[in-house]
Amino acid sequence: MLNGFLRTAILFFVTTVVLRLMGKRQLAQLQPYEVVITLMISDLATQPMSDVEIPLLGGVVSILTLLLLHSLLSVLAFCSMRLRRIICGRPSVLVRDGRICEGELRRLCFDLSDLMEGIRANGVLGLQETGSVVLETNGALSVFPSADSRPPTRQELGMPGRYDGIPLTLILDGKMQTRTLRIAGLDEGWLRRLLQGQGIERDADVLLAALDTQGVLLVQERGDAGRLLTIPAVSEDKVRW
Amino acid sequence: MCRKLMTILAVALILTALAVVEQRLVTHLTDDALTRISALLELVREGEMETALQKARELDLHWDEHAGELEVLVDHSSTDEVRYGLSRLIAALEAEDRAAALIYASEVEGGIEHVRERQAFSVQNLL
Repeated sequence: MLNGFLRTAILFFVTTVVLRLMGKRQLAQLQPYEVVITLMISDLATQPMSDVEIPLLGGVVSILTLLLLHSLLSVLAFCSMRLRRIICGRPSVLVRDGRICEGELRRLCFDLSDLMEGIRANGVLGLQETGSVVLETNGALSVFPSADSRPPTRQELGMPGRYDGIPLTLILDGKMQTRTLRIAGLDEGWLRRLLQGQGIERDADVLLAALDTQGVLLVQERGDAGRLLTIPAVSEDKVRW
Repeated sequence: MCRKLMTILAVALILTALAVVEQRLVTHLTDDALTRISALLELVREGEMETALQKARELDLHWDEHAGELEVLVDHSSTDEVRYGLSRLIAALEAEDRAAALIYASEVEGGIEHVRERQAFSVQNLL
């Protein structure tokens, strides 16, 4: 029993590390060879877990081999467009300018009802509102509404552009995130003074503090009765990351 | 990209090292056992049952000592086969049953060779 427990734990950690090394894509949408590798890893990991007759090293070696193959294929696909096309295929346009590409659907054996379902799942009501639909190499359907059906952009409305960056988390679960402070060109002293101005003495009293690209700091204090504060922190022209 | 290349290199090195070590270890651990069983077979053929029995017991102890190391690399069933074969051989030698002893000794020899061969890199094993 103890053997089974330890083998399971070891294989679990090995599999987790390997999936982590394979990158975020393994956890999201997968290319065909990544699907194969993920399925194989799960099978290879469970066999030695349940059968103590099989050497643990055998399972570990097989999993490491898949990691090696995945890394090799990733690098080759990255370096060569041609090879990428062979390994991953090409995206296919299923709807172009609101018109279904029947030949492409037939070539891919892609059902029309699946296409309509995919369009609806992407928040577009029907073909009349659809601009383009692309079937990506990982099997995902990308649906782009037609220009008439989507909300207008700032540019189309003649409004000045705005900087669209990523909000930065400066404090997370009571801990100061020095790396993101550095990205924002700010320092811990500045943040602490700002918080003290709001009656917050310690970092640990803050559940979350996030700085958006309009220079506004959103702070939520710990506890159910904790305040939710919106503090103008940085002028908009100083926000650039 | 750098990280991927480092991963490829590191894993390739680990796998190569493991393969080489495994091959050498299996050969080393089974070499002695094979020599002993071959000698034992000769003794049984020549009818020296007492000496053969002593050698069989020594081989049994030797196998017990080293089977654990082998079982890190090969299926337990392969090493168990040798173990069972040795038990039957010892019983046959104690009963002074020469015919049975010959059979079981050959079985044990085959079992040890099988342990070596199944880990060897060959076209047959690959396919």
